[in-house]
Amino acid sequence: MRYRGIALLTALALVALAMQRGLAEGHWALTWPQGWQLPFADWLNAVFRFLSEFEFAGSGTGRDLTRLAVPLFEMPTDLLSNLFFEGFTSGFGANKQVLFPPLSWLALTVGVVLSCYRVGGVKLATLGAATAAYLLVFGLWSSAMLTMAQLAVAVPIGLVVGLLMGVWVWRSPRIRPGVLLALDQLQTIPIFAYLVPVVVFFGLGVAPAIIVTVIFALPTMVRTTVVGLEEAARTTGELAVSIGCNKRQALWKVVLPTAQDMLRVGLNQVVMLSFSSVIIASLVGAGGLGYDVLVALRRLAIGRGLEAGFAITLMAITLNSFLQHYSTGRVAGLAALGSRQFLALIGALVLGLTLLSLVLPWLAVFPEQLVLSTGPFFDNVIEWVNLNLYSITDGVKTALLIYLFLPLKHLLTSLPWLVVVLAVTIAGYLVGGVKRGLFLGGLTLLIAASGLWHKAMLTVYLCAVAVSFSALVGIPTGIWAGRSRNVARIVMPIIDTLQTLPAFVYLIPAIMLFGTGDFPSFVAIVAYSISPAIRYAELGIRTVPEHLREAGVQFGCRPFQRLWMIELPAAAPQILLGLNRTIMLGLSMLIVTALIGTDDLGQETVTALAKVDAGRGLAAGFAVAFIAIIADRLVGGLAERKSQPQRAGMTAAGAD
Amino acid sequence: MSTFAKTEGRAPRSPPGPDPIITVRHLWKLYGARADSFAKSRATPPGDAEISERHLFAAVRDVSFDVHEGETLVVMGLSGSGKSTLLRCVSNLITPSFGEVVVEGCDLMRASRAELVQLRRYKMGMVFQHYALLPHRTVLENVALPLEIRGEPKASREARALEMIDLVSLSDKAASYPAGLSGGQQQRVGIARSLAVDPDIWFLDEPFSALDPLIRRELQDEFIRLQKIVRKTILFVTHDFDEAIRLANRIAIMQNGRIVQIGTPEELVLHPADDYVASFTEHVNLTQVVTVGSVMVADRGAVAGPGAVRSSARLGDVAEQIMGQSMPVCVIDDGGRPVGTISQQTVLKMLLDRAKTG
Repeated sequence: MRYRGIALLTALALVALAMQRGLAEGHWALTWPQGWQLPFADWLNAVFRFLSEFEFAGSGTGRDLTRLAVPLFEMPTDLLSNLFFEGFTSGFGANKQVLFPPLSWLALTVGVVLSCYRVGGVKLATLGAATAAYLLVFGLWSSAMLTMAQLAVAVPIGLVVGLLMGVWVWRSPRIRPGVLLALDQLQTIPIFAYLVPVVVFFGLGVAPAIIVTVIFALPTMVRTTVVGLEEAARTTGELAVSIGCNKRQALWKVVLPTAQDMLRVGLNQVVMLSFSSVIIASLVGAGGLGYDVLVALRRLAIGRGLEAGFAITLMAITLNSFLQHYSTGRVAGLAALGSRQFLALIGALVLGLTLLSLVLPWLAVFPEQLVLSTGPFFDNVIEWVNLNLYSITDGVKTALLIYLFLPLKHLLTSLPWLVVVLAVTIAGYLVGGVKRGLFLGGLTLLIAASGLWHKAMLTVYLCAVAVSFSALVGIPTGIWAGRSRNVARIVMPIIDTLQTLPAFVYLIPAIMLFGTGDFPSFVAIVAYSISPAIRYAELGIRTVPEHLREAGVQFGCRPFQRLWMIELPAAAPQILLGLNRTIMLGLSMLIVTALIGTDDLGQETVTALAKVDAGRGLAAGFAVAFIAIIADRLVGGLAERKSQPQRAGMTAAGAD
Repeated sequence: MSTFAKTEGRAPRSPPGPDPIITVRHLWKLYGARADSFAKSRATPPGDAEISERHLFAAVRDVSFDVHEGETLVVMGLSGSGKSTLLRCVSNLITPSFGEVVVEGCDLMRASRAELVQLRRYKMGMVFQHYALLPHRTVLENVALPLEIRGEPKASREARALEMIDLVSLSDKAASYPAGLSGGQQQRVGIARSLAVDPDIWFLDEPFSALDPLIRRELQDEFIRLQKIVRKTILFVTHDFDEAIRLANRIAIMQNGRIVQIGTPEELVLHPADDYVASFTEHVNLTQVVTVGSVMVADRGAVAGPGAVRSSARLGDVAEQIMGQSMPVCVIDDGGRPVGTISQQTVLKMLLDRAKTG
């Protein structure tokens, strides 16, 4: 099987070579003819036009209706931002009168720290205090409060809607596999692609920002809910029916409580994803910390960008940790107070300090002279880098570009589409049977037909280079960490931090060291996507069953033999899963790097956003998603096969 | 475990009451593609040829039996024999394809959803092989769950739950979570939960199969003790023949979806219907199963001396007493009237396990 596959693919490569030599430039088998192109973007735009201009009987067009929903998102957000940092006012300009001041920074800080202490003890309280102090000292308080006000609306919506949709999907076994598959695909469509349609329907401002955030976080919540409920239903089995539960009781009393660990994972995911979409949401007018990062990025203000980016991460970690503790329902500190008394205490403190701020100005606004900035420091760093490291970084960059990047770029973009379609089909067939081969080949064909072929191949090229590098460095590092506790102790915290930073933040050092273009994109993608390669490899090696390892020692394996013949094969499915995750993260980071000048599908979505061309953006988005699906089915399929070789044929056939 | 269980570690042998609580007639369960719609489309079960032609699989085929009030019927079979499917058909956790199931006069095949829910909330209790305890509820909350579901107020359901927890000797664990309990303790919680609603009918699906042998034995004793107190009508599924022998009033042996033999443990051991049944019974210690009455020589004129033994006693319990005499010993019924004699030779035969060859 394997040799047949290698032979087939080699033959195909020879055919490709022959075609390039033998066929005239512009032959239909080399480049997809203009006349055959399917105008996906136009079709999508027609759908959007129809939806937005369709007259619903007497109540206006579709767009009018969606615009009506805007206040639903704006009002609670405005209320919260008034409360947090703007204050309640009436009138405008000179007539402006303060009805009620914003909550004092000290009041909020005290409230947060006390709540953290009650829910999670000293450790969480310290984290809360550190976060508040960080925001204050770096002058990010009002940005952070604006971001908080929006997320305080977006996160609950994402949670509740996700939970309800999850329950609905779980209860409809017929559509469940289809919906789960669709959700996985949704996650691979770059978020840029959603932005344009959202703007078409909801305009710019807070409402589309919240909607984009929810859309981004929703698929994961739904998926986690469904998986959690399935698992809980398996453990509780026939219990609910056998004790005479009705449908509602079975869900709320038996299955949902049993699924609570998984739901907590969903909560974590919603919080983390909502925070990580803060920057993208600021592209449609969210303001806040995301906007700070974006502006810093455009102005190349490294220090400011890192400060704001790290603030997002810090807030995400704190909020997530708070919610995780809170959801267990345990009380860690101030246990003497009942929950009502505790709330009253917090309320009184916050109100008292805020009223005091009317008299004491330093309570209203954090004193200016205490605010720091790392801006000058980073300016110095850049200057130093430019003076001292430029020759090295530039040398590395140039060498890699000339000997690796450009040849590969040329090779991939000049491949005849027909050969690529066949190659993907054959690879799909080898991994998962005829059905999967045809499915993946069909997706490739669609990309060719969309007229985005060249941009798609540029995407594949940059992603392939970066992911290969991530894998080459990450997997051995992970294996090493899996075999040595000391290495793990150093490596794991680093990748934990790497993973929680918002994707955009990676652009900053990349630009700083390497300017713009393919190479800094490569660096940013590697930094963002290397974590899962390391993490899964470490996990795979660490969880090799002890009896296998013992058997190896008993056979008289040397350490290297043990690694090669026992541990690696046993860990292979995990390592492949990590590779799969790395590809997915690489693709999503690739889109973000469009902001620093690439020429691929990511750029296409960004351009579409600038031109408010929803169809074009979505068409490019789908092309990215198709590439992601193809990679996922090929690599994921290999992982499946490795983990259950005896059933490979069945699962592969059933998976599509 | 109490000494009480040690001396009488065996199911009560009182004759079953006259009224069947559960009546099962010609029960079938088919599996396979579109098995349910196929079953609905016809009134009578298909023949073997049609089943294989449609690639169906009959997990339960043409099963009929009764369970009487206060009786423990143990369904015993190897994995894949259809015993668990049978139990689920009777409790209507899965819908049978053909046949009739009547529980306390209620025809389950025609019962509405609401009737079934009422039946489950008030009449049926079930114990699962893998306990099915909710991990985020304490023992108390787990046991109170069925009462909560049927809407009982907190105070009364907790009082009842505590009573049940006390019954299974876990009072000190009421506030623990399932993860902190051993397997045996978890199944005690499962038993307490199933009894919390005070059901008339008790379903147990391989309740002790996931436990270590010693704990299994301990819980079997516990089961016997509980049954003496609660007197439920029981359908008990197991793959362990020794367990069946210990706990059953009657045993139904299943193979390939059919009941190949149904009878008291003694009947099964002394007169196995076929080689398959015999393969289970041949290793059973006869003296633990066979009663004096079934191997004595009937003789109403025998003289009841001081060394007389009861006909309902098991040979193992009186063997020493009989072997201590030099002459055949008189057998009396529960009223003390002489019904026959038993010779030392018979006892010896049984002790040497030669009943079936002899």
